[in-house]
This record gives sequence, C-alpha cells and structure tokens, in this order.
Amino acid sequence: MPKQLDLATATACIDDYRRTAHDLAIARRELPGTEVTARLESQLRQLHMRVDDDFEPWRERLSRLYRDEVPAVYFKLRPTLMVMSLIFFGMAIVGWSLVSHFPELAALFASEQLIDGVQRGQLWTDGILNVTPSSVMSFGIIANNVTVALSAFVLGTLYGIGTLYILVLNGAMIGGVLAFTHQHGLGLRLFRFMLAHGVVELSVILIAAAAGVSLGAALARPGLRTRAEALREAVADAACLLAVVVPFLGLAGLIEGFISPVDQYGFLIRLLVGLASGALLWGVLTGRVWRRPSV
Amino acid sequence: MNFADEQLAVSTVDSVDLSMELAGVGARAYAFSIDWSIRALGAAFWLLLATGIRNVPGVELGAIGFFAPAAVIYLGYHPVLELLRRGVSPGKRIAGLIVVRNDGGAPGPGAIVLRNLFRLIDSLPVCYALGLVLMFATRRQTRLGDIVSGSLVVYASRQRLRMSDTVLADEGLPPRTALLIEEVLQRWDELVPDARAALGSKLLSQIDLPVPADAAAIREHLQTALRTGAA
Repeated sequence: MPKQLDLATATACIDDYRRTAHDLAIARRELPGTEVTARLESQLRQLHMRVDDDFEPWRERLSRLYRDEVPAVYFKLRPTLMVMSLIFFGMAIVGWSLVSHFPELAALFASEQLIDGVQRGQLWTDGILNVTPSSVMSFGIIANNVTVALSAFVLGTLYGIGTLYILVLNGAMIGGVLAFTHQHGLGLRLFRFMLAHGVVELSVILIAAAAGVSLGAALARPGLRTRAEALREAVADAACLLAVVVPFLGLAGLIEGFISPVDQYGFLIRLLVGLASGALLWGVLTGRVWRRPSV
Repeated sequence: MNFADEQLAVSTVDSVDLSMELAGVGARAYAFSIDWSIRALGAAFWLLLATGIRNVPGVELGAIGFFAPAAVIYLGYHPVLELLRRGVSPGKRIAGLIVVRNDGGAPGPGAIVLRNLFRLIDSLPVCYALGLVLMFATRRQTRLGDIVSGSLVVYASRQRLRMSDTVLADEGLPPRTALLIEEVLQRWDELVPDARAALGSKLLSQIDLPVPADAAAIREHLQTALRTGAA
C-alpha cells in the first residue's frame, strides 16, 4: 500500500532522483551503451516510480470523494439512472403480467422448491433463521448482491448489453415472483419482507446498472476521444460512485439478515428502516450529507 | 511501424527520457500461471483442511464455512496481494514484472482494484480468452483491466546501482576512466599479476594519484578512487 513519506525521506528521495538523472545524462553522453548507463537507467526508473506516486492521504481522498466527486458523477448519471429505473420497473410489470396471465411461467423465474413451498402457503423466507443464523445469512446475501452489482457494472463493457441483460432479468424475476406469491395470498408478506432492505438493495443495483451502461455508451459514442480513452474516463467516474454505494450492500445485507426475517418487527419499523437507510444512501449520493456550510 | 510497442517512453520531471520494456503475452502468461497455481493450491489446501475439520466429532462446518474461505483465497488472491504489494503479485515478482501507470508512475489503489475487477470480463468466455485476444490486438499488449485502469505491465528494473555509477558527475573522475577502473577491478583476479599491476599503475597515474609498489595497495587505491570519485 502507498505510504506517506516523512519530509526527510521524501527530500532524500528527490535528491537521489535529481543526482541520478544528472549522472545518467552524463553517462549517456560519455558512456553510451555501457553497463554503467544501463544501471543508472534502472535506478532512475525505480526512483521515478517512487517519486511519481499519486499518493493522497486517505482522509483527504475520502473527503474529496464524498463531497465532490460522488455528487458530481451522480448528477451526470442521473438521466441514465432514470432510464434504468424505467426499464427495471417496466420489466417487473412485464414479469407480473406474464405470471398473472400464465401462472405456469412462474417456473421461468423461480425454482421448483420455491414454487412447491408457495403452493403450500409457505414463503422461502419463513423460519429461515431456524436453518441459517442471521450472520451467515447476511454474509451470503452481501456476497451475492455485491457480485450482482459488480457484474452489472463490468458487463457494461460489452456495449451495455450485459448490464441490460442483468437488469431485465432481475426486473422480470421480481415482478414474476411477486405475482406468483400474490396469486397464493403471500404477496403482501413478501413485500413486507423486502421492505426494510429493498430500498437500498434495489437502489444500488440500479446505480450499478447505470454505471455499467455508461461504459457501453462511452464505447459506442466516444466523441473526439479514442474508445480506450472514453472507456477509461467512464470507468473512473463510475468507479467513484460504486466505491461509495457498494458498501451500502453491506448495510442492506445486515438488515436482510437481522431485521427482515424477524416477525417481531412490524410493518412500521420495516418501513422506517427502509426509508432511513434509503435516505442515507441518497443523501450521500446527492452530497446532502456532507454539504459544506454556505459562505 | 511495428505491430506492437516494445517500450514505454517516459519523460521524467528533469526531462530525462526513460524507457520501460513492456511485458509481452508470454511473460504475462508465465506470471499468471504461477499465480493461478498458488491460489488454486491455496484453495485446495483449505478444502482438504475443511474436510478434516468436518470429520471432527462435534464440529459443524456449514456450506458457507466450507466453501467461502476457498472462494476468498481464489478470488481475493490478486486484488489483495496486488493492493498490498503495489501491483506485484508473487507470480509477477518471479517473472520479473511490475504494474505501472501509463506514464510510468506507480499505480494507485483505485487503479489496482479496477484492473482486478475487470478480470471478470477478461476471463470470458473461458481461460482469459478475451484478455488474450485484446493483448494480441493492442499495441501495448494490454487486457481490458489494463485499459480501464490506465496501467501497463513492464519488466522490473532489477539492476542495482554501484557506488562508481553515482560519482560520474563529480569533477574529479572522468566517466571513461571510472568505467575502465571498474572493468579492471571486475577482472582483477582473472588478470596475470604483472598485467593487472601495470594496468592499475597506469590508471592511477592517469588520474594523478600516487602509484604504490604493492599490487594489493594498487587495487585498494583504485577502489577508493572509484568509491569517492576523487582524483
């Protein structure tokens, strides 16, 4: 990991760098093609990497990230995010409609075990804590959600098609499963289960999808830059956003492991947890949480 | 124009041009195969250990406890080690490679995380096929992870500086003489005793230093001149 050098070491390092550059210039003129020149070049390369280091103290870096970079990228990506939300919820409606009209299509979105359980009037989330402890459950959920979010992001490099595939599939799956459980009188219970963690979880997946599609857009329309340059800039922007929102999946996973499956938590508490965690996420994204006092 | 660049040209702040040799597909594949072997063995070792733990009466190891550490070893190997060691995984170290920014500087943590995250795409559809195709197709032999993170893989500079190299700029010892002294000292033991004494004396008199009669003393004087740059 990069380390902050103390002043004496940094000064000595820069001094070495200048002297070696000086020696190398002479060696190249006087002793071209010799071992001395090769060794000095090697030394200067090593010193160059040490001196030309974009190290920034982590507090300053985090402050810049949260205060300036994330809100800027969020507002830049907001139109894409809206389109992604429309596609996702549109596909959820499509999934709902398909399963409502053709119940046998539930098999497209749910496993046989899940279908059997719902047909017996049981949700797969019922009594889940008897089988898996909350901590283990949270770990599994976080790992899965982080994988989905990061996959949605990086698959954007396939001209956005990979990201759209994940988005469409997940939208249709949620709509389809909700419709199927609704048909068996369990829709409200599933909605109640999703309420506390769903706001953050869905938000992060949609943001990751918007970030992924922005990579595809940079490749498809690079403008005056080369495709590689456009992609690099889009990745740098999107990575700032993901570095901040992906950790929220940890929060969502903890809520899903410790609050969502516990029946004692009523609708109001779940609603409040969902709204509060969502407000925190969107507050961070828009920069409201870290807003500087007006001068 | 060459199909692929072999060197990365870097200009230092003192306007001294440097070049770094870009690592080709072969060297990178070699480094990767070493890394892959280490992480596969690490994951396999955990699975064996976990199988043993499972057989201990009274100890329960669920599916997550059984597979998750192996997955963490296998998937976390590159990101964690490269973050800790600034882009130098054990495989790269053995193959003599390092990761640098496009301008030759040291990569930051963000760049290292990104180049590892995009392994997911480079590894598609199997066996890093996309990454290999990109390396063959790009001038600097970069995979997608390198492109998006603005990094390159180059051969590490391993040559160590000698004392004599750092006195070139001093006024006392002319660079060509310093080089000659160094070469004579390097071959000192191979030379015929009379020849090395004659050569050493000649060099010492060239730089206006007293010439001792004893061969060992001549060698010592030459070493001192080289070390201090004094003439």
